[in-house]
Amino acid sequence: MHALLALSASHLSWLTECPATLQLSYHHRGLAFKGLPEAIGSFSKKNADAALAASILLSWQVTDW
Amino acid sequence: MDQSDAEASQRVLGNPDLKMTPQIELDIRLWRETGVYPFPSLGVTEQPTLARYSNTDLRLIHHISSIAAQMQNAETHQGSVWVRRVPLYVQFLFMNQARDNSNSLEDSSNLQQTMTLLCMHFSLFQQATSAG
Repeated sequence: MHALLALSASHLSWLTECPATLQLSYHHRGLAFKGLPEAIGSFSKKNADAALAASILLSWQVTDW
Repeated sequence: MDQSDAEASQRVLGNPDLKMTPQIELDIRLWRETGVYPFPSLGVTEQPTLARYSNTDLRLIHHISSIAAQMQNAETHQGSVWVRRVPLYVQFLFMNQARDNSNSLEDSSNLQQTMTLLCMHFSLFQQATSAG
């Protein structure tokens, strides 16, 4: 869920140019990057869809490749 | 989102500008009160426990959902990755949170079903990357 919140906050920060909103997106992105390896470490049918969705949403937000 | 996450979000300096309007505030309040997701056209059927989310979190979900709904309305042939996939991702993430809440026992016995899901995922990822 943090990957989705990060994407949304990132877009809002682009619209508003508000540093606090940008910081909010970094905050959620950090939590998503922390949670994704944990989800992959306990990969199962239960969290497979969410892990894939989070991976793709985070890949959309990566700007250094 | 647990308590520690809520506390962490308080550490964001200043007040984030979330482009909140009276209409959006009303949407979020009704969403919280009724439990009805404000974007029925996206087909998101399952929802997490809204009490676990702050108004800021719900505003962020509302924002990304509103963009998806607008793009869906503007693009009737569903041609872009965004329009086809974002509602699906919202659904997946909502479902995952809802399952976390239910404390149901994990069914890890059926390897074949898991492998089928993985194949579907790789196929979806390939479509997303080739079209994007």
